[in-house]
Amino acid sequence: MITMFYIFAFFSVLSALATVFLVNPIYSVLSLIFLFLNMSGLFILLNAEFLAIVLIILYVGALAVVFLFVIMLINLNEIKKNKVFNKFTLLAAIITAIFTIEVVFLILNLKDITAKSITSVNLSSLEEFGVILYNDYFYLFLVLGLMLFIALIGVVMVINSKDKSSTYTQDMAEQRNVKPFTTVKLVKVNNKEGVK
Amino acid sequence: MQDSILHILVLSVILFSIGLFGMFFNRKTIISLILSIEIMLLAICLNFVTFSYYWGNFIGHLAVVFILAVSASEMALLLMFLVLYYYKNQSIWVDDLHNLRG
Repeated sequence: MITMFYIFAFFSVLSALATVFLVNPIYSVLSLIFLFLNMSGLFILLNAEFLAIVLIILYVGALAVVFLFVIMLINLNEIKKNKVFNKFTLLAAIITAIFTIEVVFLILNLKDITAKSITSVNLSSLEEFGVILYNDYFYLFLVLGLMLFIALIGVVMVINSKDKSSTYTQDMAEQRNVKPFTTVKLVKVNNKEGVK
Repeated sequence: MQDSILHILVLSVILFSIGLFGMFFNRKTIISLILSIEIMLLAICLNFVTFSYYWGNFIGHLAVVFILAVSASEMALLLMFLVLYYYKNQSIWVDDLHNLRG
């Protein structure tokens, strides 16, 4: 059990570092998928099997594929020329090291947390989880669904309300339907009056 | 597994710090920022599941379900803005975001 935990922990840290440090975004997303798989293994070790399956289905199955599609829409040639380290690396390392040392120091000073835990429910039971989710937290669950719906509507509306004059598209049918008498008009112009 | 709760907490702090480091350090593309946000959310989910395991109730699992839904909708919005910004400006560099002007 503890060996499996250390294996999952090692690979999750490794793949998180790979996600941050790799230059090519496709490799970053693939190592993020590996991080999600390791994290679902950790969830299984912590008796959260349902969340592990949800993590695999939702993230690896849906969100990572969406990431890959978005990366496909973007020109990758200029990203590859980017260098890994820049002038912000030292500043970022200092800030992150301060945060990490503070919080790890705080965690290692927690004495009460190594006491015997209170296990009252079966965490692997999906039935009890559903009872709690649909009874005690029913309205919160509804708000959650409403939030996803609003996000969906927002995405569709912003995509559709895009300013049409800012994009340069070519309408083939309209181009082929152009005839000379629809675009050019013969006007009889009087002297010193011009075209009205 | 009971004694290794501290180890799991330290692991989650390490993952969160890697995500934070990515946020500060990756001044490259917007995709890198989004991936760093994902790593940080995942570390927080691990923290919630750990404490749910420790206390023996389902509150942490509920929080993780809510975090997953919120992050999914957030990712949809972020990727939508990313695609729109790329179509408009032909660039996804973070440094070019200064041109937005509100």
